[in-house]
Amino acid sequence: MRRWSWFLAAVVFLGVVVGLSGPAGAQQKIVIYAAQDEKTTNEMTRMFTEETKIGTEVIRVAAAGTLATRIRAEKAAPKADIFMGGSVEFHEPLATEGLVLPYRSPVVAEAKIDPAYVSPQNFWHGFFVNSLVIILNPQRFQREIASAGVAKPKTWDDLLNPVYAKKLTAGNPATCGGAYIFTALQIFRLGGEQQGFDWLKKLDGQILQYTPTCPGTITLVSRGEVAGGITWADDSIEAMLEKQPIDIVFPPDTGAEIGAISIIKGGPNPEGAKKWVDFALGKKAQALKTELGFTYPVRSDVDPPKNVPPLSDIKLGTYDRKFAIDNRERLTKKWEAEIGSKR
Amino acid sequence: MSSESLTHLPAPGLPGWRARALLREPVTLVVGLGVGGLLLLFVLWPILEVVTYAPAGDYLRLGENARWIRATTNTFRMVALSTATATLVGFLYALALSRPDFPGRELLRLIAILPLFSPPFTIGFSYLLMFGRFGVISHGLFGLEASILGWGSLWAVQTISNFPFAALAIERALSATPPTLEAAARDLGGGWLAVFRTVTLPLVRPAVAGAALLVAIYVLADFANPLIIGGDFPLLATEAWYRIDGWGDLRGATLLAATLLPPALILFLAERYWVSRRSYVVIAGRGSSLDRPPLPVSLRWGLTLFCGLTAGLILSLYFGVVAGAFTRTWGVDWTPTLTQWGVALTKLDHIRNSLVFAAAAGVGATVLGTVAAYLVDQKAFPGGRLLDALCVLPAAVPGVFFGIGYLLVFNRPGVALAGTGLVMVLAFTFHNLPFSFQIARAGLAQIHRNLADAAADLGAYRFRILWDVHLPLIFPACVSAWTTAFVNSVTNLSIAVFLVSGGNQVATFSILGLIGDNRLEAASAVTTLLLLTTLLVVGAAWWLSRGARVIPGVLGG
Repeated sequence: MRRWSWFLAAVVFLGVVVGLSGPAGAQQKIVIYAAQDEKTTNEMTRMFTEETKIGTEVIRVAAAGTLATRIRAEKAAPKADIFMGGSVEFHEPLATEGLVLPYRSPVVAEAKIDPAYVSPQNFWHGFFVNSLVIILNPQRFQREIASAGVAKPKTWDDLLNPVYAKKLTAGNPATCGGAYIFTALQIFRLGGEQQGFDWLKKLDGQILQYTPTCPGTITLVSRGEVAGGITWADDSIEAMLEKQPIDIVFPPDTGAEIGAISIIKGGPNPEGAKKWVDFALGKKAQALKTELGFTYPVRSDVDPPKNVPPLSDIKLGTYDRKFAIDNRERLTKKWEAEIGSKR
Repeated sequence: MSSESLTHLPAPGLPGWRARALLREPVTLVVGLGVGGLLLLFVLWPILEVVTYAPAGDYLRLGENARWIRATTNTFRMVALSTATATLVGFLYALALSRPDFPGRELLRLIAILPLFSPPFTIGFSYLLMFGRFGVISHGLFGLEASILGWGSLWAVQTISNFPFAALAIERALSATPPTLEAAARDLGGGWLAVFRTVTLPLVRPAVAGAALLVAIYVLADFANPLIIGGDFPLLATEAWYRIDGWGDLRGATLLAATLLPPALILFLAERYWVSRRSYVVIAGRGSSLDRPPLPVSLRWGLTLFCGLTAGLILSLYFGVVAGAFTRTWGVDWTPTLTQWGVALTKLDHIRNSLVFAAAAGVGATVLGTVAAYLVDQKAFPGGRLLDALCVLPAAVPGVFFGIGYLLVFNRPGVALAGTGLVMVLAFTFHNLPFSFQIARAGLAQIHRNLADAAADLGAYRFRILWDVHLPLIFPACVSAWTTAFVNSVTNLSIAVFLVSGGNQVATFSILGLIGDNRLEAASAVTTLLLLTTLLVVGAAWWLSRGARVIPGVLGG
């Protein structure tokens, strides 16, 4: 046998060994699908393992839709125990499809958590609240808006000022959840679908570009591609603290997402999953999530994040979540037909 | 007795004879059936699963969604535009590369193949850094402040990322045109342009058409660049992803991915069965040592300037990525810093996964490709044509489609692969099979049959012949096949994005996450690290094969 054939055999052998050997797992663990930032997720899992001695394996992505899709694809043989992060908009349809294990954490009663943050059928528990905000690029605002004698915007309607024409950005409701909540919010805020769409069409004249994801607007604003934009509070605060040039405005009648946790039915470790839910609603985890994730806690005994007005100051617009979820397909198609495809 | 059976084996057109011969070779039979079975399981099944996942009624309602119609027309527009420019730029570049008298052509070639070794989104990503509103070139150099996200930039990025494929393919054809023909035409009094138009161009026309179709396939399937630079310009591949990312809608995603398949198949079949069959063989008798006549001076200068600019652009884009890795906040705070490398180090696991998975997929694709090529080449197996078709089929399947297919098929009860790294390794293996298969076939085709016949006469069985005669001779081809599959897998995003899970995240996926989190500088650091390790491995492979021609093809994003 020639030398090269030994070499080839060795390579094949190595490849097979490497391919077959997965990472060794802990004694007991839960698998978490998390749609939230990396730092918060890592800290939470570290704290959880310290407290409960249960290991964790996390698949973290920025967008909840990816994880919801996975859970659907894996429904015959679920791989994960926990689906966390992402608005209720993603959890509720999964529950309707029978993919969620109902559970009511005792912590809800103990901590007197507002029932608005828990699924009436016990499918999901809200564990943070995140609101929609206006962000501005200070440099471009000073040069192009303030110089025209226009003050900082305070409300959504202020964005319709002609001075912002083609200088704003927002997410595209066809591709990102936050932008859809923003679209539906206008319908509830202005008292009707017709009024909502009329307003959105006016706003459309101000938009230079819709982004496919919500954090995408922050990139455009901080890089000065546009003067301002509409996006999530938590991502914006994080970007601001990273010294990206961003000013944040909390409009009074804004929309919000309830970031939820649900237990995946048929997952490998349902008992461990329940412990995770209890843990995430606990005071320590809530404080951690608030501090690192820049969102509002669902517990009243945990302080809201620094740098933001308290939740009570922000009048969350009346938002009919059920209507919004049920009409999503129809309303985004309508948005595309009347606004998106006209651009 | 063995010699008798073997001498009859390659006889074409006698299926009965071959089938009987096959029975006398159980090893060939078993291997052939095994390879066929694997192909049905890992190539055909995922494809069928995606196409049939959405109920037929959904396909009829495709036209009701205005955004999807826009995505379809946008896709075709982008393919047409990018193919035209990438082929043109590639042609001019190839013209320079094919001239031995051209200054610095080795350097030009090296720079042109750089994009083939980097993740597909590198060009789009650094384009953003260099030409964005606060980009180095647009803002710093020219003081421009224009928005760049959108179809125009995507067009530019697709041209830059894909012209190297065209350039390399066309250069091969140009170099193969015998200088004697050109010299003869000149002696008959033709000017340079006349010779070029009537002699050179007709000879390379099939190569140009083939290159254009290849580029079209890549642009059609590309996923990463539209994601990063396309802004709100819906395309079929990205829309399939947003359907999942923003909506959790698997049915819509399969529908859009399936829409991508027919045009991809048509382009692929056109390339394979129409253009490749038309390659013109120049019958020139003996080889000639005649030098190519020099290009006219003005053309030569024009080409030098053009290629220099193109190469400079590519280099500057790579410079952007590396510089980003050492910057605090791009465009705002230029303080040099090493903090981004702290983030990059936390992603070392992901880079290791990328390398391990890609290496394993490279081995898988090479072994499978070589065995399949051998079976087809030796006409040892009656189902050779089917085997051939199945082996090259993945080249026509966009990565997004393949990723969704594996997500659907290998998450069933009983298939315990889901969520393991093995799923990704298998997906990479089979998506790269066409390359390793073709490379192995080309390698085998160069070996004269006499060698195998001699071994057979000495009593060697077929796989003994493969092992002792063929393999040593095609070893460089194997290294080349491995490298191709390795590079494609390490840089892949479109498949990985659907298959990553907790313990097996890969680098391209975490880079996408960092870009999504607006941490462009950290993303630069991880990209730089990935690029370095990839080039190192490729360099080692090149050294090992003693300079075998190692040029990967990239299967759409």
